[in-house]
Amino acid sequence: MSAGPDTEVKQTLDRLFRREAGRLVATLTRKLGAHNLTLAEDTAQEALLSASRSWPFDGIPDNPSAWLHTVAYRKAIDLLRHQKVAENAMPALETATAHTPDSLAGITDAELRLVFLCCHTAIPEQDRLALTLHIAFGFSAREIARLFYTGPAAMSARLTRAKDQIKARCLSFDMPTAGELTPRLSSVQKVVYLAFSLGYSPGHGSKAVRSDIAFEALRLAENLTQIPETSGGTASALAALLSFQASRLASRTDTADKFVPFQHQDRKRWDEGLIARGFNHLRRASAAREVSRYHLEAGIASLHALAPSAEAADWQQILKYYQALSDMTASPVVALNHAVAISMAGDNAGAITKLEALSEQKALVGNIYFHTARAEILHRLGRSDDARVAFNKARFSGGSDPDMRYLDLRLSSFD
Amino acid sequence: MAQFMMLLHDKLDGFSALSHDEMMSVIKEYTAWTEKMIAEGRFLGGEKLKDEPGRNLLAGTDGIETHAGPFTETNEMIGGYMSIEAADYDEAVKIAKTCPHAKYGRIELREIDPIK
Repeated sequence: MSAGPDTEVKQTLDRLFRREAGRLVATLTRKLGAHNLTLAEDTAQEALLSASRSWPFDGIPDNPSAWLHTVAYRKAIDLLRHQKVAENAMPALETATAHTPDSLAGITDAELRLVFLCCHTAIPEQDRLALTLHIAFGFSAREIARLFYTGPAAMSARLTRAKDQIKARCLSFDMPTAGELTPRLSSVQKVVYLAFSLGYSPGHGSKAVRSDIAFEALRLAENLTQIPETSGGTASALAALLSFQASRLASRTDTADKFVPFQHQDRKRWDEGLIARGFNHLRRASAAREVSRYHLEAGIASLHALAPSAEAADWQQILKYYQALSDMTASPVVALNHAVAISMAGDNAGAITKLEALSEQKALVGNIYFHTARAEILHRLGRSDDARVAFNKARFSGGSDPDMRYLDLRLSSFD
Repeated sequence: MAQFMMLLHDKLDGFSALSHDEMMSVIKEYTAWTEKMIAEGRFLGGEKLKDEPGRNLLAGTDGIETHAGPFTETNEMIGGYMSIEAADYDEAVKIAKTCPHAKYGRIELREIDPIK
C-alpha cells in the first residue's frame, strides 16, 4: 500500500485546520462583535473538535470549510441564545456589519483581508504581529514563540494579553477605514515575511520545509503588489525577496528529506520561473524612491540567484548589502548572517570575532543557526575541538528533525 | 465480498496526555485511513460513540435493571465502530492492521453474518 494518498489527506487536513482555525475566529468575531472574541475562539475550537470526531468515521465532507463555518456559527448562536442575548444583539450586529463602508473593497483575497483586519494598530506592534500570525494563519503559540525568541508559555500569555486588550477596549475586527489602511500596511508586510520564514524554516517538527505555508505567504506578497492601495516599492521588494527564497525551497531538502545547507544545494533544482518573477519584482522595487530592509535582502538573494555556485557569488557586494542592513535593523540575526557572509568572502578570522561578540545576544543564545554557523567557521579555521563543541551546542538547541539529523551527520565526521 | 465490523476499543484516558497538536495529528491519521478506505470502496460506515459510560440493561429479580456501566474491562471501552468489506478474515485482518486504531487501542474484528 502506498503512502501517497494518506500523506495527501494529512496535508489537506493540516492546511485546513491551520487556515480555517484563523478564518473561523475572524468571521465569527466580525459577526458576533469583538467583545465576543473568546466566544468566537471557543466555538471555532469546538467546530474543529466536532470535525475531528466525525470525519474519521464519515470521511472529509465535500466542502469542509463550509461544514466548519456552519457548525461553528450554529454553536455560537446556540450559546448566545442560551445567554438570552441573541434576540437583541444579533440582528443589530448583522445590520451593522452589512452597512459598514468597505475600505478593503479593492482587496478581494479573503486571506489578505483577514490579515488586514487582524493587524490592529491600537495594540503594540509585537503583540499585533503575534496575534495576526495566530488568528489569521493559525500558527500555534509555540511556533510564533520561536520568531520572537521567547518560550511557548510566555507567547501564550502575550496572545492572551493581546486578546484581553481587544476585548477591554472594545476594539473591533471591522473593516479598517481608508485612513487606517496605510498604517496597517507595514505590519501586514511583516506578518507575511514572518509567515514565510515559518514555512521556509519551521524550526521544529518532522519537516525541514513547509512549502504550502511559504507559497501562501508568497501569494499574499504578490497580491499586495497588485492592489493600488497596497502596492509600491516596498511591496515589490518583499515579493522579490520571497520569490527568490521560494525558488530554493525544493533544494533545501534532499530526496530523503534531509536538510541541505545553502552551499551544498543543487542549484539546478532552483526554480527558474520563481527567480524570473523575483527579478521582475526587483526591477519594480528599484524604480521606487524608498529603500526598505526587503530591498536589501532581495538584493542579496538576487546575487545568489545569479551565481553559479555559493563561492562564485559577488561576496563584496553582498557584504555591502549586509552592512547597510545591519545599520538599518540593528538585528542580531542580521549580524549573524553578516558574519557568515564575511566568512564566505574569505575572512574566517574576522567572521569568528564578529560571532563571538554576538554570543550574549538574547536572540542567539541557544539558537541552532548561531551555533551551527559558529561551528562551521571554527571548522574552516582548523579549530576542530572547538568546532565539535559548537556542533554539540547546536545539536542541543531546538530544531526540526531534519536539522538534528544534519547535525548528527556533521558530528559523526569528528569521530 | 464479506462484511466485517471493527469494534474499536479505547483505553480509558489513552489520549488525555496528548497536546492539542499531537491529538490533531492522530485524528489526521484516522481520517486519512478512512479516506483511503472510501477511495478503495471498502468503507461501509462507522460511528463514534460518546466518551462517557453508557447504560447496561440486566435482567434482575425485580425485572430489568439499568446500570451505568460497569464495563467488561474496567480500563477500556468501545469508542466506536467501523465496517469494511474484505474477501475473508485474512484480508480483513490485513486491512485492520493498517488502521491507526491498531496502534492506539484494540480492534475487535467480527464478520457480519448476513441473514438471508
